[in-house]
Amino acid sequence: MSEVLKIVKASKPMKRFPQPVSIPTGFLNTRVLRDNFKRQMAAQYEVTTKALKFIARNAALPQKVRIEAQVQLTALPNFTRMNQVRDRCVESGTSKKIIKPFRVSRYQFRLMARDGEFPGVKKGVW
Amino acid sequence: MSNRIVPLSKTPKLKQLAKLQCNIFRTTYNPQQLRTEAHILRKPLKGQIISNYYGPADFPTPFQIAKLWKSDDFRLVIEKEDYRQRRVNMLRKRGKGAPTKQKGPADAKKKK
Amino acid sequence: MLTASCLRTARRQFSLSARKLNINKQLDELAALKLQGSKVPTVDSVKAEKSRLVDAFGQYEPQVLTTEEVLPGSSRPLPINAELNYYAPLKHEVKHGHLKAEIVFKAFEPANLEFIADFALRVAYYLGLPATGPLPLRKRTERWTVIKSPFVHAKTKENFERHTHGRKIKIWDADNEVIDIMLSVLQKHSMWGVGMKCNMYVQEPLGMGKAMQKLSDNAKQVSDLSSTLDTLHEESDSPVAQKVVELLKDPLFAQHLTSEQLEQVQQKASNSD
Repeated sequence: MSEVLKIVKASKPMKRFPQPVSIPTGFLNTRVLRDNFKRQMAAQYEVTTKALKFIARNAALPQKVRIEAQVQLTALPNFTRMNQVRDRCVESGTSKKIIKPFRVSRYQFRLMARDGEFPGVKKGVW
Repeated sequence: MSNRIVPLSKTPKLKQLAKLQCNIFRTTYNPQQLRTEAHILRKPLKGQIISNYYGPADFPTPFQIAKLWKSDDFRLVIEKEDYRQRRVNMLRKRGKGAPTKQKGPADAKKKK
Repeated sequence: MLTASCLRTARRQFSLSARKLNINKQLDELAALKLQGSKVPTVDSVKAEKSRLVDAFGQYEPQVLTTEEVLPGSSRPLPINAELNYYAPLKHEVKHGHLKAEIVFKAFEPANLEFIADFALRVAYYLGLPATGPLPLRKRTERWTVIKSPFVHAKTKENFERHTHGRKIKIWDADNEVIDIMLSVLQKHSMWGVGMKCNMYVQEPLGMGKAMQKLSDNAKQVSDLSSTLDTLHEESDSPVAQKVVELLKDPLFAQHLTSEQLEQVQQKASNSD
């Protein structure tokens, strides 16, 4: 598949967001795109955020350095934070009642499980 | 901790004992109980997992794949697209299709 | 299909009979015989060599448990190691009781799982590893109850479930390299829908205490910048620790540090490089 990927031209990064990100394949939606952007940014800034947090919370470091780190941390834009990402349905984009191991919402899960898309999942009888 | 009446860091002798204990059991000696946040360094990063939630980016779409293997004696059918095309054609034949796009500039709005 | 209890009784009975017949000894003799038979004198023409090979094969008299089984299309009986596939896997005796590895198979369907566990035991036998099992693990049941309709009507629901079955095989008194060979065999012949996990145990040689003395005498003490830099140096593999050092050297943070402290930071950073 990697050869195919090379031949296929990569989609253009989106300009609607402050930083260009790649577009996911599969179901697309404004909210999915927005969440995807936040995910990419959170991953990109993860090391920086953690390092700043380490400096700010470490009581052994000089007070001025700690305050500076805290200021820098709060100055970062919201989209770099991990708690901004929300699990969304991969099939329909809804954010409610997501079944985590399969990353789909309840209705999509039911349809897909009935079709046998998930190995091992069958109708519950007990 | 709870059954210890005097904390180990209070009297100088107990302080020494605490340090000795830390030396023997290879634990960190932290008499003032300062926050060190060393766990931030040790925790595994989860950015990779979070950013891969929606699957691989720029994975070839059905259209791109159909375009790749396009030849005269071999035709890939994208079911969804095929269904859409046939439906649009049927509607057009019945005269129920979408109107054609206007070429010229739109007329100025009529004043009431 | 045989039930598990039936299999278990068959296995017990067979192991008893195998002990009586002393199958291990028989197999050794068989191997020796095979080695004798494969000694072919070197000849120049290829044809003669081939014919002699056939002769050598004719000398090969495999020992069998039952005489009735004859391979179809030939007068030769079924070889003993082929015949053993009809019985429960043989096992070597556990002598010292040193647990070396635990192989866990997991699957959503038990059929493939039974087969692969059986196969693993056979692999262990032919590699000379004493193995015990397969020990069935507790079935893990996950259930999901979802509303049937896409919108409201929450009274009608549908249940889905997934069972995860597991089998565990323990390997005793073995060399780690042989276990590696076994794992690579299992990986090569792995089955669809069966996951494999292995916990390996390594025993340290005598004299571990001496190696421990090499550690530094003093415990870490948390007090100031230098202790933090020490922890950063210890965790220098983590990208976060590298970033912290980088940030401290940055003019934005360096302006808050005294010249001594800055020197310390730069010294530690150069040490880690």
